Amino acid sequence: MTKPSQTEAPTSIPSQAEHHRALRTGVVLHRPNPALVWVRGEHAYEVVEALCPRDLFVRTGQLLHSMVLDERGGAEADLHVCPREDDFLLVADGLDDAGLARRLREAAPEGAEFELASVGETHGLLALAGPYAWELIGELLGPEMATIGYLSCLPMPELDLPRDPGEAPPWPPALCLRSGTTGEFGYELFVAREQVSALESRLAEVGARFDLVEVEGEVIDRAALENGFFCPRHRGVLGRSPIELQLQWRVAYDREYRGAQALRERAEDGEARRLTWVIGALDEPAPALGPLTREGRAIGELLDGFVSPLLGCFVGIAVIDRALAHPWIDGLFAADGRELRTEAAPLLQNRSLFVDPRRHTYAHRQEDEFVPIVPGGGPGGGPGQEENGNERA
Amino acid sequence: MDEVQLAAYVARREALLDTIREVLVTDLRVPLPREQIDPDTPLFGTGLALDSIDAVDLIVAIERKTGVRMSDDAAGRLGLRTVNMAINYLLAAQGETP
Repeated sequence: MTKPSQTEAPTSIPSQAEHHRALRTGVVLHRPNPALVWVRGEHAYEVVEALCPRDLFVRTGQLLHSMVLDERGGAEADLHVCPREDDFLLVADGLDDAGLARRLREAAPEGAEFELASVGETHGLLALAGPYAWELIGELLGPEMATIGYLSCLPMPELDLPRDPGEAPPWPPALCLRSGTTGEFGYELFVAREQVSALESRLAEVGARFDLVEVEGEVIDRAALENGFFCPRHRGVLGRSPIELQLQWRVAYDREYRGAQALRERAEDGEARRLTWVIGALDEPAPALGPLTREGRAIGELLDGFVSPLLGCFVGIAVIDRALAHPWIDGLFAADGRELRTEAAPLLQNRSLFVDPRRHTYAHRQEDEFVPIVPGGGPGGGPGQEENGNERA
Repeated sequence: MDEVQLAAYVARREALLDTIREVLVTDLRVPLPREQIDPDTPLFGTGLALDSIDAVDLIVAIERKTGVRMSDDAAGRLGLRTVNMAINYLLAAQGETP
């Protein structure tokens, strides 16, 4: 297992492009660092409900994907709600434990009885992602774990802290969260920090057969952008409403929660712009972030993006006037004159859509035929190119 | 694409967006108001969280409303990832390409 290091010379570590390719064709390890807060007590449900902008229709064994809003109804963090019997584990990407706990206390109904435990201090997440992550998880935790559905959450007693016979089960329990924001199979393993090194050793042993590499969070964040997932580290998205960000499926308008009134007002006023994906020409460098024009008229703002090693072109996110916030519109110009075209996310044909645990394995991946990852089989998308570098079709 | 072509193109997309929202709310009983179904909302897994049975109903309803047959192959599967991807599929079936 290759670990990234800040101290090694850039030439001695696999490039970010290779890690990006490994994520899209194999399996990678990464270490997300979201807020992890456990909510317990008689009114735990009411407390979580007061922060979560989506109806809390979720039961033990499932995950609910929503977000944390600020007081102005703008995006503040990505949120997964994981109920465990009468308790809830909240996983909030974009906040730290103290910040999430403060928001929960502020949102809690008056007189609510509850306890908050910042389990990020005692527990951490190791995450696996990629079209063969299911296979590695199956070897690590048993075949039944390989096929758990997206947005599931199951206990992993084998990764709990050791205990004496008759001793009560440890709290919080080790959990496997089937989630992910890359469009690939994704698993987050929630384990006590004392168990992390044992899990790392096991991953190194099992992972060797999968050429497992550890990647920086930036690789995951960029993959999220390619696949249309919200990420709080994408420049320019925080503070924007779910209406602008096309995340209205994550909120309800008929309930009270943090930022609800402000969000209703923003909905009533109407948002002038909408988040839209854009791509540049093949082999062109990244354009300047900032104003976007079309026919000489200001039509939006390019927020973030990068040159995708798989697509061979710049991919980015922009907020664009609603009348033009549709895919396949060309003639958009960044401040430095580079031309862009709008697109629909996901921009890739993720291999995870086509890998079938009943028929495919990582070991035989070269013999299997798949739909090209890049629509049309363009740069980096053809067989062999994904593994071999930046060769052009 | 000049301004006239652009206006016509956007109108075609908006019309298909309305059609798919109608299918989702009326035929599939998605419990959201139409305007809350954004164009890039995922249809399966996350987002509207439709399942494989919904997929059949969605394909049948879209075919009935638009006359376009959604194939049961990779292209059809990719065309159902989001509302906008479905619109792309329908436009491509009518000969429109980026």
